[in-house]
Amino acid sequence: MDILCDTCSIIMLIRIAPQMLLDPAYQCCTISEVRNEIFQTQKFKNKYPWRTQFKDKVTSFVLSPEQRVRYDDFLATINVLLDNHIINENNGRPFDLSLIDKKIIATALACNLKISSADNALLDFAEQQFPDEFKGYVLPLGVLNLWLRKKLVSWNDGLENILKDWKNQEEPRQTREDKSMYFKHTNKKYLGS
Amino acid sequence: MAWHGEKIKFLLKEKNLQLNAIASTLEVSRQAVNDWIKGQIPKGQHLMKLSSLLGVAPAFFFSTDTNAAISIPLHRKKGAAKITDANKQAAQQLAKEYEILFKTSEPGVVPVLRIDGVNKNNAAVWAQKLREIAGIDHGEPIDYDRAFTLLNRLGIVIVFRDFPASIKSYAFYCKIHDHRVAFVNNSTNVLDLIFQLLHETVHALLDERGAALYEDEEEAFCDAVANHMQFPPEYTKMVATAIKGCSIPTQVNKIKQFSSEHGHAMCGLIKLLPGLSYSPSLAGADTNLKKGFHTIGEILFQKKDPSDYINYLKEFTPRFVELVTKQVENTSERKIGEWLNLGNKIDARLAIDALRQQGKGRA
Repeated sequence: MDILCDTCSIIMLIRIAPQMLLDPAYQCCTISEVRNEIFQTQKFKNKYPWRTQFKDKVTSFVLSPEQRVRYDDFLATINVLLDNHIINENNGRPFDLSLIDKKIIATALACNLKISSADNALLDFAEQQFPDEFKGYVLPLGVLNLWLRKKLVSWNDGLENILKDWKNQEEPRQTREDKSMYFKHTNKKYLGS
Repeated sequence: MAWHGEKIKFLLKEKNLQLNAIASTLEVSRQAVNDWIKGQIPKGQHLMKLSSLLGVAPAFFFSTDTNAAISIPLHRKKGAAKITDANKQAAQQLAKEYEILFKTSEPGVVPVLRIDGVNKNNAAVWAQKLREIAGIDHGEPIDYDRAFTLLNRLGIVIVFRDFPASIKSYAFYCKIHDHRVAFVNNSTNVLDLIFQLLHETVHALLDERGAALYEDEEEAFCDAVANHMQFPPEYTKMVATAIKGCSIPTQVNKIKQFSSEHGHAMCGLIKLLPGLSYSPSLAGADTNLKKGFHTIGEILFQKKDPSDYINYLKEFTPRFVELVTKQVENTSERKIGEWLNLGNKIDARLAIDALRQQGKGRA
């Protein structure tokens, strides 16, 4: 497992690969707080009513005792930096991350994971404060490209429909590189923004 | 920012370590460590390693400015719960989650109550002054509208929250970057709510005066003022007359009726009535009465509708809604959801839309 998925990534990808968090080949994992957010938050209940079909597929992983020690150290450092209003170099405003954001960053750092999220503040914080430790981020389309490359997923009408749904739901913007890679893998133009 | 880089120098000396050795272990230049000593905050990854190397927590290098910016004088505790340091820290941690909201905004001019003497004997004078500020000039108990009006007029921002189990309180007052803030636990029964609001109001005013009372003494004073405000002599006299000569069960029923009509618990009133004491059976009656009333959280979320929720908040705590609305464009949906305590009850995106709408309405 290499990629710690935030809620939006799981929401966007789980219908494409329901096994994404169960089969290590997909290289994805998540934490219990994200799982709770997906299944307990009103926004997701209304916007993605289908998500309950995947309740048993969205599992979270447990930190080993060694990882837990590192996690606690990272979380303490993240908390003290945020308590002291560290400035985001990209917009000049103090970072103000939610509790889940902090836990995602601490887990990713403690377990040497990339983060798949569309939350810019979260990613900016990890990149700016832990440039050597942070393994980087990958947007949902990048994760899909990884699966296409590994032939875990192949293009078909079902996949195309889910990507149309990304567009309809105005899911976060993907990078130009990922769009171009998607075209290489599928010979289809990426539909969303 | 409250970074104290000079503490690195102190620790190096204490642990007999060389600056070069530290720089080498952390894989940074000697200049970088010097910059930290002179005041530059290290990146998170260096701060973590530096703390580990010198055997201190990362927070060691920061002054207590954050704590000074957030004062938590006292709690209104629940029943017999003990107020411990851990309890206060949990409350302070909760308050910290809101720090940016208050730091980025001016508190404005707030009224200060000028009454000499802070002791139980002049609690009635305080109560009378506060009732005047709330706009009450007769002997009725203070109602919800007046209680919220009072806090608003005194510049006290109310934050309704689900408190974590570690905070065993109905409410607590703190000052965050000079804003007066009262946190109210959403599990508070509405019959207990007014008293808690009044109690925290007195804490807010005492905090302003810099009054250095012992905790128990301040608690007792806040209780006394809140009691006088909620149960003025005219009201207690009226209740005493109404129950005079009745059998105990009839007295209890009548007190229940007064409590229901005027939105307060039985407990505080009974303690003021001659010839009655707060016995276990009366406590049971009080508990039963409260079962028929909602908690403030249940009322706020009763319709699970974002616009209704924001409207309720705006009615009860307009300044809080104003502060959150100001941050809508700069803050993540998740964080706004946390501030508004939406949990799984309301979609944060819809609540943000409702905030934007009411913001436009105001403009």
